[in-house]
Amino acid sequence: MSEKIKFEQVSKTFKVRDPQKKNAIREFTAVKDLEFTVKDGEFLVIVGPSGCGKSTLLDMLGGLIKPTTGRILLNGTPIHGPGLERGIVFQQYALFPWKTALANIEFGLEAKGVSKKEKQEKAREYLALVGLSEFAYRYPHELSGGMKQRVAIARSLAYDPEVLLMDEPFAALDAQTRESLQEELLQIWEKTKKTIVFITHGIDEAVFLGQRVAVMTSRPGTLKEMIDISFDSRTGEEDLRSTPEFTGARHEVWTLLREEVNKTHYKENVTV
Amino acid sequence: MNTEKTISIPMKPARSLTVFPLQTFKYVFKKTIIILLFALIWEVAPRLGWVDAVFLPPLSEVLVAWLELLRSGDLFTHFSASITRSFLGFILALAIAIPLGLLIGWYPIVHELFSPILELFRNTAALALLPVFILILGIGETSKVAIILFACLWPLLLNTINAVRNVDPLLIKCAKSMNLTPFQLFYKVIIPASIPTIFTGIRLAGTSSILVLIAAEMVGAKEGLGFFISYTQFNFQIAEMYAGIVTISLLGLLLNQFLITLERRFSRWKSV
Repeated sequence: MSEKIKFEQVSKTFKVRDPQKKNAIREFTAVKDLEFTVKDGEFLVIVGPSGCGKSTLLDMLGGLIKPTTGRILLNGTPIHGPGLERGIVFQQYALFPWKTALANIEFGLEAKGVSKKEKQEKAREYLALVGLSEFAYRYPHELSGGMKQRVAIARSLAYDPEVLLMDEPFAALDAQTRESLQEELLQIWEKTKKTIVFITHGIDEAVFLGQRVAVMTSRPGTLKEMIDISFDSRTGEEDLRSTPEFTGARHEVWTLLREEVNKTHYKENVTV
Repeated sequence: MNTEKTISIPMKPARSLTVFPLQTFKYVFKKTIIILLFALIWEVAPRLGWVDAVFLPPLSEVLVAWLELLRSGDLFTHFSASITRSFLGFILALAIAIPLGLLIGWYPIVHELFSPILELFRNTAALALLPVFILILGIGETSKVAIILFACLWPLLLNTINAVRNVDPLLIKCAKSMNLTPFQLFYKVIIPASIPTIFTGIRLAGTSSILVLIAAEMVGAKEGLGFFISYTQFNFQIAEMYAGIVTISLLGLLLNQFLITLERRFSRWKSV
């Protein structure tokens, strides 16, 4: 498998207002010295304590913000802005409320500039992929949370990006919906062979979905450890979550994260 | 399962036959009872001598006067004069305020430059400027249309600016991630997302267009409903005066209803 994405010493600092001194600006380091690669067709999950810069990382990968230092390579060339070879799925769905489910999926295709006929066919195809063909003409407010996220996933897949970036996409859903969407996502991944970078704060989710799980440190976020998860197939019938391999991997991630969460608590207690 | 079905099928038409008219009756009753009561008091109060019948003729007399005015064509002359002015001022305000508002809302620098003067003007009662408009533009149609334009401008402008500035940042982020050009972003995301709030401004402007119109016509005009009301008052045609007032109420209602219908047409996607 070839390298798809490469982070080279990526750091990002923001200028923020100092809460202690009025009108003073201070630097705030969100992520620091990130260095890792994502292989072509890989499902990588990034997990970390809250506020560790996971979303900053994804925004940089999406080309929405620029790294302060270092660079991110996609297929060997540095990322300079957003592009249709990367699709982002947001936690809050970000569906356009004035468009029907179908029209939302067509939206990304419009940006790509395909013919009207192809646009409609593609949108129908991806709506069917997420099992929502009957809901083509529903507006987002008429759909449940799980359905909205399905539409959002279909929208990102429809313009056929090479990489799918997912920013805690299932965090706002109830447990049952989350589990079935996780399974569906794995099926889609196996069918489409996309490279997926998935961000979450859920350990179970990370272990269940990821081929590799990147554990991040607390702020300033950097890569703490990369863990290989070695299950053969995740889409089988049996309850993967109760196998010893799963529990073992889960415990490993849990222990790593635990240290970071404790550090954050300690820091907060000291500064306050 | 089977019995449930056989029960539920005959129930449905039975419900719609008996309960539905009762529901309709209740609905109509709730919507009209207070208005009917008001009409009744208007009719009875002068007849029983609670108020002076010279200054408040019974409703029936007002209605007779109204029908007479309708038959003679006087009412139509004044009505059309008024509605032409109001419509002209309103349309001109739309044509100016919406593009300008979109611009001010979109470019932060333009907003910073314009917001102090906008604050100043919107807090200046349009009618306070009526003498100025008459001095500069004379007593003819121009000054009347101009004052209506002025009064409509501010609610439209402020709502349009707010609409643009309050578009969900996530939708903008999402559109940017799909590599939309700034122009595409504007007309595919910003404008559709702004429409509901812009319509609030349109309705407010509709209301103030009638309000200012009547006042302007009372000050100096040879026709129009405002003129008609003050003219009949001077000539002590009290029943006719009330007929004029009723017509204005109807005009206001009609305009508002029209705008609501239009609003629904354009924001069907909004949850109720």
